[in-house]
Amino acid sequence: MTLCVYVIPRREKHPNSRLFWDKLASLWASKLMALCVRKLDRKVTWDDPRKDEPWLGPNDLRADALSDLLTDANKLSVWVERDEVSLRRILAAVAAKRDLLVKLDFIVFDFAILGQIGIEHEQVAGDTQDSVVNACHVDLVQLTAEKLSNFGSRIRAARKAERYQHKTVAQLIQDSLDRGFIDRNLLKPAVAAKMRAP
Amino acid sequence: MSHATAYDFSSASIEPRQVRALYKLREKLEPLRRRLVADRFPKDSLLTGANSASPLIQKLVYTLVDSDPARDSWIEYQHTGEPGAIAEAVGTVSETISAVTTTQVLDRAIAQNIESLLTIARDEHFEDGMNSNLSVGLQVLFRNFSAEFARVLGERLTKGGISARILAEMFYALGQIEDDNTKDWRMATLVDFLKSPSPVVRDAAAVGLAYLDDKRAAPYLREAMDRESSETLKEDIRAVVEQLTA
Repeated sequence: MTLCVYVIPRREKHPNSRLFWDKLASLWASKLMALCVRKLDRKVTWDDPRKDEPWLGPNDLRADALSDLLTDANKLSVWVERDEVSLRRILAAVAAKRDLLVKLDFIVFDFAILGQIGIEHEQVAGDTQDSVVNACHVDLVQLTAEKLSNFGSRIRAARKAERYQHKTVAQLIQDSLDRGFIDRNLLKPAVAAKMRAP
Repeated sequence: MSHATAYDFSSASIEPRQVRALYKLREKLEPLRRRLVADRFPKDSLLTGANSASPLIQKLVYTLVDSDPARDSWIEYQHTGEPGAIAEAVGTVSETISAVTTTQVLDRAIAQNIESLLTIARDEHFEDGMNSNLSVGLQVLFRNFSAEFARVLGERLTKGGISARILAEMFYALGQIEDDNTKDWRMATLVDFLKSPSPVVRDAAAVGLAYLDDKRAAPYLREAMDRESSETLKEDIRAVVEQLTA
């Protein structure tokens, strides 16, 4: 907020260096509005309440969905989108490290949610085959069961879970291979077999 | 004609040597028959083995499966048939039974493997795209037993009692296994489960069909889409239909 109060008047005051102020404002906005993504396994458990689920409130999270938020040492792995690293590239990297070429379920959420519910995070390098994407990896840390459940409810209420069918996933990985983001030799055999020959 | 007369082989035109052989054979077959009947082994399966054989052999197979009524056929034949033919027939029945019992043993071994996989799966966390004990186990069993495994697995699926979570993992694997021999069976099974009351299972069946990538499944998926109550699941099924018909 302080930055907002500072940047906007300066931008108006110095029209010649508008580009600089715009960039600064964009940086500030991207920090606040950064999108994150969490990989899921069972998208269907994140869907809106169905007619046969009167016990489930519109913003509630099914207990089954918690299995997609499996923690280790009270940490949960998420990815943060950046200007130079698109969501597609992150998802391609995540899919490329798997044993099999299958569908990819995921949910996108606003980074700001973490601050709103008091979840701490740490920047920890990811373990995909795309080194640039690895720098976008964040661990949510010091998670309690309550915080985790709250986190799940908040991200479910904010956006719908999404799915890329396995053929779309193949295109994503192929794109990263073609651009040299991922080394073909590091793919698991079952995934490599589905990719176009170099 | 009484049964006592019927089993008096000496009254038939059979050589004493053959009579002894038949008695011995019968001694071996009778406990087996009792076991088969006690285990409620499906008669149809036993008969399948004799379908191509002569009516005589079919009568003998009936004798082994059923009790008194079918025995009459056996009795009748005993007095009219050629001794050599009887011996041959009994031999064939014996082989049929041997084949059937081998199948039965194999079925039980496969069934035990399936139960072991399901037991392990109860404590397993499944992650999309990662091999699990269940998915690898299914691949191995399909590779080794193909149609036999499909048949036993089908019986187990019909029996029910498998959690939606485990069924989902199983259906993803069914879609990905490379075995042309069982492709139709796998597709039919996945199509059946599109009608499951569980949305998790319906979703997994649709995903399995997407992996199977056979456009013959498209009409069934369209039907599933029409009756689907969950809007998001309907969208996901639509995406599979689009993939198959592209």
